[in-house]
Amino acid sequence: MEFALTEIQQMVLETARSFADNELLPNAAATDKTGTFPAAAVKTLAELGFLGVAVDEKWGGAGFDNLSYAIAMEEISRGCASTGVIMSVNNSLVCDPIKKFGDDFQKKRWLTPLAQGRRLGCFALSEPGSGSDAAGMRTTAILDGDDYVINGTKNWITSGKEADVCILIAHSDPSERHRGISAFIVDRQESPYGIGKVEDKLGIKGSSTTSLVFDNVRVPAVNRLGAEGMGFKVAMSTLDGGRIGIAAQALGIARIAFEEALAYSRERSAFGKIIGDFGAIREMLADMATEIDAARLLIWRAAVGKDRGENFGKHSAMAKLYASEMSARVCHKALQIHGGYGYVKEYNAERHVRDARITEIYEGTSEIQRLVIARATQVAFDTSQS
Amino acid sequence: MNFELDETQEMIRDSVRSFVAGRVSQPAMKWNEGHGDAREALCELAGLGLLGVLVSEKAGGAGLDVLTLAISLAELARGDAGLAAMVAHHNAVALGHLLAAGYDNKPQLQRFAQGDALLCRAASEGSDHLDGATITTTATKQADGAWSLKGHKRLVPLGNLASHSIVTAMTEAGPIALLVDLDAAGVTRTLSDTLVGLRTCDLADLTFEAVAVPEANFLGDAAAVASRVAALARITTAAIALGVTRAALAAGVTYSLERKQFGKPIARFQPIQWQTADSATELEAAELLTWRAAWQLSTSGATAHSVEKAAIFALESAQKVADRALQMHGGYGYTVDFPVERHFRDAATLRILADGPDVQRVAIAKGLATGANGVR
Repeated sequence: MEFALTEIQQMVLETARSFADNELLPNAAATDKTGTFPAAAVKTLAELGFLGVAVDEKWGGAGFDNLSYAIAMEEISRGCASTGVIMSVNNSLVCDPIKKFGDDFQKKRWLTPLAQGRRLGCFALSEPGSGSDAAGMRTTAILDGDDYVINGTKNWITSGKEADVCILIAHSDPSERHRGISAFIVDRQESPYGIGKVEDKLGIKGSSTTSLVFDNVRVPAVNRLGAEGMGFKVAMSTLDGGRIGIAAQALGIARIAFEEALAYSRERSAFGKIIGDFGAIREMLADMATEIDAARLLIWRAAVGKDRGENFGKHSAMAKLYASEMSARVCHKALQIHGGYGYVKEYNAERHVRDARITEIYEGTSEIQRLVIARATQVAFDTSQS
Repeated sequence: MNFELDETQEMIRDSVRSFVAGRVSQPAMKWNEGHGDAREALCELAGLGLLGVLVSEKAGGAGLDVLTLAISLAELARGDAGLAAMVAHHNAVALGHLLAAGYDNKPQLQRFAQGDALLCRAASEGSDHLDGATITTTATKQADGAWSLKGHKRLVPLGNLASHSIVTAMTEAGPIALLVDLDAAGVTRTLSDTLVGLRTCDLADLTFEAVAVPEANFLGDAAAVASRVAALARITTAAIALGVTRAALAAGVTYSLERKQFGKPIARFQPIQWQTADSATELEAAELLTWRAAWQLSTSGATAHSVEKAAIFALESAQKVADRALQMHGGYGYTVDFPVERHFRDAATLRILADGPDVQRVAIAKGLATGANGVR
């Protein structure tokens, strides 16, 4: 066992942190207020290699490991949670499945520009009527000659407005449940689809969340990602990795909330002393610092598991569950430490509460993470099944 | 970053695991009920090298690091947390103090490291022990150079079994530590109160009435080694808590898979699954925090209060996990027929060792107040 970062990981950390300090933190409040896509930040992410952190250099990526990705995600999300989710989706939900399941043609055509940030990706699994129960989806992809014809509506698509490459999960055989599902790379330039409702959200307002409308959209059969019927596996395996990114996003949000609360607690006085010296505030700050560390280690454990080719699903579920709920707790306490100032937009505390909240919902709700962890834990003890 | 045990760590963990299975799991229940004691088990642990883990091989010890000690203790505590508490006290608190003080009497050190004799450390006096300035035990230098020790120490682990104790005492120049032969004239050992948990752990109150301590047994300024000893006490307590947590989780999950209600194992109901997931996640986080702090103590030294963070998390999650496991057992959890009530009591008792989480929170908060970056 050893807990040191390599030189490269340390370099990634420092690069990400300085970008966050200089370019993300000063703009994060405005990005939230105006709800505008942080285009300049995303452009810099591309230049830093952060849109394809764990993609081989051969395919246009930075060629780092998944631990480096988690480290960068934390720092970027500390600077701006909206930029964080855009980065997470492009890396984990778009580049990753093409890297893992794509053929060389697909990698050359889509992975390279996505990893280089010349194009931006989104991932379409959820629908208006199906989220956690992914196999309950209605969207169909029916083979017709050399194309699949797509019909249906996808919901809650991060970067849906800006993205022009979409990983789509749909029923290629509607008579089956899990086994009738396939994955596709849908290129919006080649197969134009509609952008439906753009959601007005509680937080992460700089990233767009839209529905995607497919009305007889033809997608070439060569765009299918993996074999027919493998789509559910593609989706689930992709989400295992995505959870590391979102957990790191939650951690980054908690870090900035904690840092600002700590600073405020050293400035503000009451009853003749600095509030940070009262036992009640001290206890909150100590707990926040402890839980932030715990979350980071769970995330790093999952990322290293992924790098080592282990079955890391349980670890990424633990990381996502703990980090997201930790982030909500930490942001709640950070707002409380600010008192009334925490409730107004003059300070950032209220934004962090809003941004943290989504991490308990997307890419697998806390309820789904608990289900995954409980099953894995119970199986390990279940002698009747061995 | 690497979360795998190395070969030595794996070997030691496996040997402790098989020792627990063969020699601890069964008698643990009896030890806890006050029937017989774990003296024999302690002797056998000496044979495994577990009584001189941190002492160099040259000085007769195993020459291993804090991380390996923590891994061993977590494994031992799955069988009996009180037994693990004795092993932790001897290795980390008592021998840890001796090593930090630069004690160099090789034959004596070797006796302790090989388990021919046990060593304890008596610091707490039952009141105000968090305030180092209020030690009431006194040491007075005599004309012949020896010290005369007078005072009363409470709840000393291994107080009955140990041959020697490190004793903290106040002098005119400040707090010092002495290595005291517990068979010397003027020493009285009294069996301490029975604790709610960790009942296998030998505890005594020690009274010193003008005990003559030779000059050679002077261990120097007690304050100088206090932070190292505190860190070792905290990290080993956290490691024991991990063992209790793992044992409680296993007890709860195993029971939930067997126990049926409404026609199916209760493990299939979501409230039970939720608790299982939370317990498994908290155990994982507690382990990672503990291993990291132990690794830091083994290498460059702990930073950003990683030891205190590990202790808070491990001690508090042990209690939460044990509580959930007891609840999963329903009424059976409340009986001594199942081991879960013992895990519950052990977890509660661990929280008062090594100063407890509230004191550790103050340490973290003080670091934060002085500008330390607590989280990166």
